[in-house]
This record gives sequence, C-alpha cells and structure tokens, in this order.
Amino acid sequence: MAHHSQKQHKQLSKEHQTENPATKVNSNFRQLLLMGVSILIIILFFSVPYYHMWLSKRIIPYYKQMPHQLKTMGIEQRLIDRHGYDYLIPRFIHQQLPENGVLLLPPKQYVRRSFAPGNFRWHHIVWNYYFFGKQPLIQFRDAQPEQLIMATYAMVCQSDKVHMAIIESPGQLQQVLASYKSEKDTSTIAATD
Amino acid sequence: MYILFIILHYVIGILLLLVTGFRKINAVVLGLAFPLGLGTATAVVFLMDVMHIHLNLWSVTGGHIVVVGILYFIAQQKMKLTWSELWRIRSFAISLSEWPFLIVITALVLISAWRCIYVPVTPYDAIQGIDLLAKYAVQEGHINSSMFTDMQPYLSTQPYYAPFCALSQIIYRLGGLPFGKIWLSFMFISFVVVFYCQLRDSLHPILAGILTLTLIAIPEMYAYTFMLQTDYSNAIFVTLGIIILYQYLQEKQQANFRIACLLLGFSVWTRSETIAFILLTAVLLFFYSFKSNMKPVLKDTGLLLIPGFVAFAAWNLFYLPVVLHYSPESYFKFGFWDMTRLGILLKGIWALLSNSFYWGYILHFFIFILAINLLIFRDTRNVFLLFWIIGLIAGFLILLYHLQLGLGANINYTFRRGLFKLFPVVLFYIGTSRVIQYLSEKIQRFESAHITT
Repeated sequence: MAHHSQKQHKQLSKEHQTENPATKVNSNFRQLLLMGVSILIIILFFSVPYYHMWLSKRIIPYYKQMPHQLKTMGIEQRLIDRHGYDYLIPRFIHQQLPENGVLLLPPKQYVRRSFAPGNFRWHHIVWNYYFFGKQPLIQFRDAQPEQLIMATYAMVCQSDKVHMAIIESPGQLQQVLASYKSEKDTSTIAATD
Repeated sequence: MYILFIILHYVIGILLLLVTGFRKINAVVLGLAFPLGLGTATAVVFLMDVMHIHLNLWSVTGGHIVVVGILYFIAQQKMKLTWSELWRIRSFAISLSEWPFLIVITALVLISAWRCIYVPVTPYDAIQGIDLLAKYAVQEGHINSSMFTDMQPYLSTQPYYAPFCALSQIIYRLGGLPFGKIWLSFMFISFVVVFYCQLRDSLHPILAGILTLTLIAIPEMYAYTFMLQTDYSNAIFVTLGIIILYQYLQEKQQANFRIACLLLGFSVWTRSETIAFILLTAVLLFFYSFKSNMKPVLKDTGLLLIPGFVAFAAWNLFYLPVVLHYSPESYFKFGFWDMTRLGILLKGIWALLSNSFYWGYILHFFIFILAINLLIFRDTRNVFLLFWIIGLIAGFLILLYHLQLGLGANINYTFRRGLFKLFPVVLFYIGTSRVIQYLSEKIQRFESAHITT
C-alpha cells in the first residue's frame, strides 16, 4: 500500500505536537468538525433512496425483532418461526405417520393450489429427510406405478390444511391420484413435477 | 466447545501467518487469521475423513491441536520467535472523525451476527446440500454418510459443492451449535476488519469509513452475511487474496505473496469454478510483473496456481469420483458462435450490474472515479486491480456463454452471486485511486492545524 500519505500525516502530526496551545485548540476543533462531517456523511448516505430503503426495510426491523427473538431461544420455536409450514408439515408427518405406514406425497402444483401463496412451498422429499431422517415416503413425481400401490397413506391438502388420508383400496388410491392431477393444470404436472 | 474452535481457528491462522513470514500481530493479521485458520481446519477435517478417522468432537479437536503443534514447532524452529516479540501490537489510535463510522459499522455487523446465530439454516441449496451433508456427517462420523445412499434419487448438485462451507458446518455443529453458522459471522467480521484497516493504512479514516460502509451496505451481499451459502465465503477469500496480492505487488514482501496464494487457494476450496478466476489472476500477475528476467515471474505465477489446483483436484478429481462415486455432469459446450445468445447475455449482464436495488450506487461511483482517475490524474498504479475487475466480468461472460443452462438463471443466479467477488475489489480500487488519495491528503492537511496560521 502507498504509505506516502500516511507518512505525511504522521509528519504533520509530529510537527503539530510542538505547536502552541492555541493551535492545539484549533486542531481539536477541526477534529470535532470532521466528526460532524462524518455524522453528516452517514446521514446523507442513508438518505440515498436504496440505502434508505435497505435501512428501513431490513436493518431497523432486524433490531426491532431482537427482543422477541431473545425471548424465544428454543430451537423448535426458532425452526417454526423461520420455516412455518415448511417445518411443521414434515414434523406432522414424522409424528403422525404410523410405524408401518407408507405416505404418498403430493405433487408441487397440487400443493400450490391448496395453500395461500408463500404459506407452504413443498420443497422436496429431501426436506423431510433433513429435519427428521429417513421415512417411508413416496414422492408422486418420481414414483413408478408399482411404487404407488405401496402407499398406505396419502397427504391431502385443502385450504391451508393438511391431513393424512388412509388408503385401504386401489379405488381410494385412484381417487387421491385423480385429486393430485385434477384441475386445469393437469397437463403440467408431468412436466414440472 | 464452539468457543474453543473459534480460538483454535484464530491460533492456527496467526501461526500460519507467522510461518509465512509475518512478524507482528496487528489488526490486519488478526483479521486474516480467522479465514486462514478455518480454511486450514477444514482441510484437516477433510484429510482425517480421507484417512478414515471417525469425525467426532474429540477427534476433530485433536486434529486442530496437532495442527497448532506442527505450526508452532515450525514457527519456533525456523523463525526463532519469542512470544513477547509477537505481542508488540501496533498502536491503533482511533481519531474522533472515525468513531461515527465505527459505531455504524459495528451496529451493522452485530445485527448480522445475531441473525446468523439465531436464524436456522434457511436457503434451499443449504438444506439440500451443504448443511444436509454436514448434519449427517456429524451424526455418522464421516462425510460419505448414508444420506448419499438414502437420498440418491433425489439429490441434485448441491451436496457436491466444494466442501469448505460443509466442513465448517461439521466443525461448528460438532462444537455444539444447533445450526452451526457462527463461523460465517467471524468470516464477515474478519473481512470488514482487513478491508477497513488496509484502506485506513493509506487513507484518512473518513474515506476508509465511507468505503467500508458502502461495502457492508451492499443490500444483496449483506443478506448473505448470515445466510448459509458458499458465495459470500468465496467472495471473502477472493477479495482478501486480491487485496493482499496487490499489496505484494506494491511492497514485494514474500509473506504477502504466500498468504495471497493460500487465500486464493481457499477460494477454490469454497467454490470450484473459482479456479478459472485464479487462472485469470495468474495471467494478470505474469503480465504485470513481467520484466527482463522471466524466471522469478514464472515462479510466482506457478506458485499462485498451486494451492487452487490442489484444492480443485482434492475435491473434484479425487473425493467426488473416488469416494462419493459422483461424476459432475458437464454443462459446458464449446466451439460455437451465437450472436443472439451473446446479445442477450451482454444485455442481461449490464442490467444486473447497474441494478441499484442489488448493489446500491457503487457502479455509478466507480465509473465516476475511474474517469477522473484515468483522464485527469492519469493514474496507472492500481491498474492491476482495474484489469482484474474487467477480467472478472469478461471471464463471467465467457463462462456463461458456454454454460448450457437457462440464460436467465445463469445471469440471475450464477452471475448475480458471482458479482460478490467484484464489488469489494471495485471499492478497493476506488480506495487506492489517486483521486481518493489526493482527497485524503487534503483532509489530513485540514485536520492538522498546521495550515491555518
């Protein structure tokens, strides 16, 4: 790095040390003045539209959330606060799926239709695995017909709610599959899920 | 236990800096210590895994202690150091004018660190990759856990990303943190400390403060200071590597060169495709340093490439195919000319670069300073940084042109996050430009009462 200016600064400071008290007062005043300039620059910086927006929409809310966060330090609560349904539904499956049960997971488009935007995204089977380890799950997107008939439960979603429907007969399975494929975007299921 | 790991990473980093030739512990050394220490620790954990050593709290702590012992031994034997010598920390008087900046910067760093500790792992890529790998490696004691077989049909490329972040997660999850991640905050703090101190070394604190504040307040980048992704760590290693390399070019101290090599090597350990930009840096170094004697320049260029190539080979040519039995699919296609594709790319790159919502007004500021610096001051001292900036954009253009994935995704994801490497260097260029140095001298003269009488 160029040390020229730093050396110059040190030299100036050295010379300054030998000066009379009046000059020292002047120097202190200038330092105070520069501190004022620093504050002014910071105010101006955060008045610039995008930085202002960033400060008011991100940083200040982050600080405002802190007191609540300090009260909810439990790991479970933090996971729920952050992931919402994305954590609660894998937990529901983990807690409710009987030991010998095999659960059929619905396609993404079906989930999107059943939940308000942003409430639940239905990421992937890996999402469940990340939180709760290996479970007997069948993902509709990847399942072959011979795998589908192994399902003993199917996830059914409606109006932001989820439940596990028991599948006891091929007819019930067909009914579930029909509901997964129903509505106008049936054709896109195969392509996107 | 995670506090012990933090301390050990600092100790490893400091010892590494001493072994490579640094002789004083100051703010920059402390800033560089954590990224270097953590990088080294991840390499050790990786080696332990390769040697089939079960990864648990005690073995990983033992691995750290062995590294500390080895580095300490080398430092003692080769350098004949005494600890009292080392702790002559250079005085760092804080002037009145920099307090406001330091307070604001600290406030921004602290809330980022809080969110990093508090908020669980969120990004899709981390839950499907980095942290998924780490979580099961911690449970089972080796990287190649049953996760790779259990989830085989459902995995995408994420678990196979370069391993620095996943290994860091393994260490800090073993240290008892439910979400790991705290290392990311220490990386961020280190980055800010080195960036600020390097600028402050040659600039008035007000100007160093403005540039550091601008760096932290890049809206898109700030979000990644507490989100578990590979991009920010990668940007930290690349930027610090380039800054220290630039310092080497100015002062010709071998210690700086060795550290720059290591930092750039760790950047490849964070994201494999960075190897392309290490090559770019080596080419620039070659042309920049080239004088009548070719031998030392070739040696430097070669040495710069070694750590990056070792990191690349260890993961991509050894661990992925041999241990994980995974062959990365090549999405690249070469040897074609498509004007429409190039046009879309150029348009998209410009739109993203000039997007103030993501980057604030850095690009506008940069173009303004660049114009004054080149046209009025005719300053070519920091042209290495300028060529690196241009080279990075050109490099991305070439990579994205040949990458056969959706152009929109290429620009919006690959290039957007790739720009994390660009803007810190852009700000450093501004800080080292003659026009800002001139302004700095003016402020320093004003600050000293000398000229009033």
